[in-house]
Amino acid sequence: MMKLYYSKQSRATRPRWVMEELGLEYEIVPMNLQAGDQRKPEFKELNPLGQIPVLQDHERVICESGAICLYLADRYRPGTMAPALDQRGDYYRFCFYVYNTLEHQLIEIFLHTRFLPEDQRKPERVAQAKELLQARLQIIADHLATREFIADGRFTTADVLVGSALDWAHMQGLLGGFPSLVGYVEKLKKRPAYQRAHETEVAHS
Amino acid sequence: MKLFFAPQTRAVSSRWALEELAVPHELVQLKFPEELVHPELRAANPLGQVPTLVDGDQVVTESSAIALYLADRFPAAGLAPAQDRRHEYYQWAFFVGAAMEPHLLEYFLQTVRFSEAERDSARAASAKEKFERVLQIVNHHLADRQYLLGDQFSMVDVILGSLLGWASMLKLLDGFEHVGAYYKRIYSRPAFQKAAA
Repeated sequence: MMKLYYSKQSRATRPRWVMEELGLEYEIVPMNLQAGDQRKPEFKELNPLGQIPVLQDHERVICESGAICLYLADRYRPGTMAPALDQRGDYYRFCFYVYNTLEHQLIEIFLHTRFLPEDQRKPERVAQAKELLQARLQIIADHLATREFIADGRFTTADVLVGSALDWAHMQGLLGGFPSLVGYVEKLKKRPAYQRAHETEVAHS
Repeated sequence: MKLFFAPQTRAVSSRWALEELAVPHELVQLKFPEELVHPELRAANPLGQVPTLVDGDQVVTESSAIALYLADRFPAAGLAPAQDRRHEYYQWAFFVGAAMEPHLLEYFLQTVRFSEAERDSARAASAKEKFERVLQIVNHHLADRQYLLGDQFSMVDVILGSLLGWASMLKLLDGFEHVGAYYKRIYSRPAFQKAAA
């Protein structure tokens, strides 16, 4: 059975959501990040960066949450969660947009408002990140103004990735000017697979 | 097919991908950053980013996305693995953007782009250290492989190779033997030579 090295409230919920959508059986390996499970040598054998999630699918080991999601969508029940290979413009565009353009600002804001010790937080970096974030959220809002989902006219893995990033932005109170994006996130959160991936938390993770 | 392009930016990757696939295309050459206000680019992508690819009514942004899109759009060239064997392919595509590029960008900002008064040497040093730590993982991976996926060149080599070109200009590849050999191997490809010309 596939194993997902997992911690709740992390990017590990993204591949878990995809696996739930696909109806796959998997085992959760709970990782206690506070206790430093991710720095143990046996975990670094799987991912030298010491980051979750990691998926073990028989002899295959895959790191990077976005990569795991795209892999699962192509490997299992192909076509269910991903467009045909020659129709992947919006799909790839927004999957990478989440990681390489949108989330840099979300991380910067999170670090300097919540994560870092108070004396290391820089309000000017938060202000700058929030300004950049507006234009970057607007791109998604414009794209969804004429579409119900990100790609292919239906729910795909791109919605899992965009929806998860927006869900996080919403939790940080950053979707204030974008009611349509709040509506999109709320719609995705009603999906049974989302709820199974998020509500059934795992002890000690 | 139209590519909004500027030399010595992430757009080199997309041009390289098009050249590898020998896809006829129109190149809209812009000066970075002052010409990114080009109206046709702004209409396709209001963030005014290069690269931006327009293929009929499909707009694709993000250099890694453009590379993967093109590999799948023109499958005859064989630059993407079969659909059920894409674990390493996707992993490297995300790894370059998520684990490598942020440190390289920070180092570039703190040593080249910012004015001397704005530069923070502690942030530059920390970015260099983090980049080298990640590059060591790549170096180890390439010790017994010609390309990221093994014996065969694929589109993720375009994605990594473009980033290594940038790192090389910043003199960050010294001492990484296998990365250096790999870099020479892929930079001798005619498609790259044409894209970077």
